[in-house]
Amino acid sequence: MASDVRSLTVKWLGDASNLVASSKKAASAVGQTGKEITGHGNAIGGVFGKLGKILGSFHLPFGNAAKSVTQDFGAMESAGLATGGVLTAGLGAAGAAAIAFGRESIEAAEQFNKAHERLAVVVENVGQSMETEGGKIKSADERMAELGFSATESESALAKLVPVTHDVGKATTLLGLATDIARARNMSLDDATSLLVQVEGGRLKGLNKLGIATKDATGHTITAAEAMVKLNQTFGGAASTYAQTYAGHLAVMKSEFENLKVQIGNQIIPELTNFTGVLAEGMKGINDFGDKIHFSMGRAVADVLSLGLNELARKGLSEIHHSGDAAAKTMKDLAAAQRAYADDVANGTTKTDEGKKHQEELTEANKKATAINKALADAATTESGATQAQAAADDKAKKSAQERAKEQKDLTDAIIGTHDANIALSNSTLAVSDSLDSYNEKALIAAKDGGKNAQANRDWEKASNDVKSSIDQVAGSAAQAAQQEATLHGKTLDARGSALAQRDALVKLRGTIAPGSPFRAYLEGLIGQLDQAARPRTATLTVSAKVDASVGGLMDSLQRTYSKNMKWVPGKGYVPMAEGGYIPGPIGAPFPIMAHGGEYVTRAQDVGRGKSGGNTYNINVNVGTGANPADVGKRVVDAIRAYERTNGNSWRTIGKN
Amino acid sequence: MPTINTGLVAMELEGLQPMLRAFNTYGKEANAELRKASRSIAQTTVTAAKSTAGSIPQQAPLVADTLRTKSDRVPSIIMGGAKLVGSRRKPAGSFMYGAEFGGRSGPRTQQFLPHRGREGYFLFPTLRARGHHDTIVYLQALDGLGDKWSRVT
Repeated sequence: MASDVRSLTVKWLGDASNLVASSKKAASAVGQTGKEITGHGNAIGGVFGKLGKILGSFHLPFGNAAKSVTQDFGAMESAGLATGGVLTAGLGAAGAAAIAFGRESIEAAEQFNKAHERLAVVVENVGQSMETEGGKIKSADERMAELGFSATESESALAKLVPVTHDVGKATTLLGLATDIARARNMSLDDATSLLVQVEGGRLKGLNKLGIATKDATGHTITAAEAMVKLNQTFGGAASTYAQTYAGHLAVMKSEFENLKVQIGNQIIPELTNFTGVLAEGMKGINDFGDKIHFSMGRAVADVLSLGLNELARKGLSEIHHSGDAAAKTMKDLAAAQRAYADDVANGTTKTDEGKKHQEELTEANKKATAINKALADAATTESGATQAQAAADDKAKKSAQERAKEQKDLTDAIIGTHDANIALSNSTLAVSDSLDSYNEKALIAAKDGGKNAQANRDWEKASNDVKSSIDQVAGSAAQAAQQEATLHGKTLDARGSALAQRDALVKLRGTIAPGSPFRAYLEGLIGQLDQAARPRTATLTVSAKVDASVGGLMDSLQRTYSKNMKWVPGKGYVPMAEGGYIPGPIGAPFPIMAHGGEYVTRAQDVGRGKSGGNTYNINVNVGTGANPADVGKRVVDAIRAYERTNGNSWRTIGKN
Repeated sequence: MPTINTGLVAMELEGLQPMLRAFNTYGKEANAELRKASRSIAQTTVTAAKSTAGSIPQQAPLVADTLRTKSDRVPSIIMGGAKLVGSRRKPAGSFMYGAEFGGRSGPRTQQFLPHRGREGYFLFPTLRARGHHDTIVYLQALDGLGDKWSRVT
């Protein structure tokens, strides 16, 4: 064996018709071990196989659904089931799947029991008894199972039909028609039954939906009996036909699976009822909480127990069995101790040695049960808290994901917008070439007629305007593209930036237009305007000063410059009527003078240009956008004067040589 | 050395083949979806079996490492094969059955855990625990996909 290299392929499902052939083929290909495995697979049985001592009497449900059903999972006996007690180690050893199955079984059983109770009530109400009619109902359940309807569905439907038929036998007959309608019209059995209840009661409105005419050839409304005949004629046999299809087989299998759950659940619930007595203390806490939420005792115990077993299951497969046994044993010991103590109280033997021993055992059992109940309640709380935390985390994650999605969408839109704008810019540039071609064509046409064709001349002029318009469009597209780019980077595009973008686009466009083109000038004009708008605003302030030895000397020279009738008045400057010299007051400030014929008035900016011998200093001041250059220049000069009043004018000679 | 392949089928249903043949007419996408559904069902069982094997001593973890899903329209898994494992670098498929079902019945199988009949140590218990639920899930998926693609065609 060790020398053979083998692989095992397990398929969940296979086709029955190939079973024998595949088994023989597999068996012949492998050694003895392989034969044993496939030999087991050859055995015909139900899906669940034997369920252990308690459940072994159940007939395997899927035998009718599939003609040849085999299973290779082996017996469902798990180590725990063999020890007895469905709830304890049996569920625990099989793991969470079996616990879920147990829970589902309890739910299924409760639903069936409710339907069964409703049916029992209506059967009693029509004067019949479940004892005598039980056989018919059971037969109906079995027949419905073969058609793919569970016992719960069957008995719920019967509970509706019995009050209108007043007879269980007639109700079961009508149930067959309900199944035919349900399969034919792809509706639930409950809906089909409700429809039949209406028809049986003389309300034929629903028949129109099924395509059944409610009036006969003479125009009279048909009776309920006639309606039933028509329904049978139209839909009779649909359920049986459906059951033969693959979907029908699946429906049958599901219904039998459901019925099995009911049977298992009804085995479990009595066990749970026994448990409830000893779990009273733990259940009280849960019931207090459960006052706000309604749930059945059976479900609560099953949930608590399954939670407890889940908690224990984390410790490992082998421990599950023993822990589950320990929990069950503790509960049974407590029940036994309680019974013994109760007997002592009833018989008045509590003071005897035996009675005292029973009391000690009861105290001990209570302590153990309390510890287990507390662990189960903690597990329930932990799970609830964890579930809430998980829900909050999920909600937060969902919101974050939504925010991220929105940001991503905004970014995507901005990127797409930028691409679109760039494409529009490219298209507008191409449009200029197209319009130039059209212009040239029109020019040729107009020239052909020597300029005498008015229409051709108009077309030519129109083409010329189109070219200019397309050039303008390039500028516009460039501005939009720049705006999109700024939006993409989260910035604001100012007027200067927009002008710069337009200018750059037109400069590029200039390269595509021949220098001799009449539109080159138009383009250059646009570029010039945009150039001015795009450049930062600056003002060149020229400060010219006649350099003298000192400020006092400057004043003396000013004194000499003016006539003897003039004197320097601080704050007011010189009184007019002086002959020549500097106009007093701040640079640029208006000051009235009287000039005479023949005199030459030199502007301030012209002073020192090769005449006075003074030095000229050019100071360039960049004026910010929105500021007045004159104000800025005035402040600069005032600042220089203020500096020179305290520090002299020696700075003017620094670096001169 | 050639690998001997053994195939097992857990549950046989009459009519499965015609259903799968119908899927052949639904096109590549339908079958791709069915394979994906089958694979996802099988993968959870593979993960569970590997986890169970991880807590079992001796050869089980080595063989469980070769468990993988098979691309098929029904849930399928493969175990064993020629992959060299362990300190002695032996093909996993050469001691696969011993790892799963145990041995010690003869002189050449003393290295395995005790034989437990058909119960198995990691793969078969997992299949038993999960098989029914997985089968129902798969059949529901088959139903759903059949409804979807039969409407389209």
